[in-house]
Amino acid sequence: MNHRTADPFDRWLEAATAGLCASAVARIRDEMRPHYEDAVDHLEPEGLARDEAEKIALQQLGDARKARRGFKRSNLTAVEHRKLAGLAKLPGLPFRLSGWSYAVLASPFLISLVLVAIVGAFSDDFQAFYIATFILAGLFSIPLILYTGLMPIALPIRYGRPRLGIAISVFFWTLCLSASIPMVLLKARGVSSGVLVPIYSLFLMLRMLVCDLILLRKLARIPTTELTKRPF
Amino acid sequence: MNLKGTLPTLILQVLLSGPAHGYRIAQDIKARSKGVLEFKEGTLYPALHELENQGLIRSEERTINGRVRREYRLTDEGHKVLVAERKEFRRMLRAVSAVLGESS
Repeated sequence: MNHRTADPFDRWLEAATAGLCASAVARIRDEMRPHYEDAVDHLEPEGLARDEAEKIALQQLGDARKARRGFKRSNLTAVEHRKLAGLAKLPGLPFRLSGWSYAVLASPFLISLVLVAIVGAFSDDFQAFYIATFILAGLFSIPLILYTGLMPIALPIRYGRPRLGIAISVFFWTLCLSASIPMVLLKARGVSSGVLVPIYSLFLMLRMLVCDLILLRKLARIPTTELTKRPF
Repeated sequence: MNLKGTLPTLILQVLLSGPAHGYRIAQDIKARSKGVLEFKEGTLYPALHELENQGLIRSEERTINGRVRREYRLTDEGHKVLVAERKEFRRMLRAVSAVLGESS
C-alpha cells in the first residue's frame, strides 16, 4: 500500500495502522473493511452517489491519527513484534511463553548486566574496563536500535508527543555519557576501578532498564493467548 | 454528546443482548441513544481490542451476509464488570441529579 492508493478507505487505514505489526494491520483491515462497506451500503439507498456515500462513511470513521493512538495501545507495533520474533527464533527457548516471560528473557538490561558484571570482575584497571564497556555498548547498540533502542523515542511519538520522545532520548544518552566525566575525575583522584565499575554500570544500564519497562507495561496489557498465537 | 470514557461500558451493554460485529455495535449505540450519543467509529475498534485484551469480551470470525466479520461476545468477566459499571454509573447519576436539584 502506498500514498498513491486510489481507495480512500485504504488511505485512511494506512494512516490508522502506521507502525503496527503486519498481523495487527491484517486483522484491523479485515475487520474494518466490511464496516466501511456496510456504512456505504446503508448511505447509498438514502439517495447519495457512491463517492458521496464513501466520503460520509470515512467522516464517520473520524481522525485516522486518533484511531492509530488507540490501536497502538492495544496491538503490537512492528518494533515490538520484531523484538519478540527475534527472541522466539533463539535456539533452545520454549516457544510458548507468556508476555512477561518474553520480555524478561529478551531484556537487554538483564543480558547487559551479566556481561558488564563479567567485564568488571575481570578488569583490574580502569582503562581496560572503559574500553571493554564501550565495545559491549557498541555491540548492544545494533539489537537495541533494531528492537528497543528506539522505544524511548518511538513511544511518545506514537502517543502524539514527538518532542517528548526526542527529549527523553537526549536525556538518557546525556546521562550515560556524562557518567564518564565523574568517573574520570574520580580516577584522577585515585579511586579504584572496583568503585568505578558499579557506578558506570548503573548509568549504562539505566537507559536499557527504561526501554524494558516501557515494553513490559505494554505486554502486560496484551494477553498470553494473543501473543502466542501470533506468527513470530 | 461526547462519549469519552463511557464507550467501553456502552459496548459491553450492547453485547449483553448477544454477539455483534463492530458496525452493528456502533449502530446499536446510536439507535438506542436516539442519536444523542455520537462518536467516531474509528475509535470503536481500539476500544474493542482493549476490552478483548482485558478478557471482558472475546471474538471470532464468522461469515455474515457474504462478508467475513469479527463477531464479539461478552465473557463472564465482562458481565461482572458491566454490572459493577452500571451500578457505579447510576450512583454518579443520582449524585449529579442531587447537585442539579432534580429528582431522580
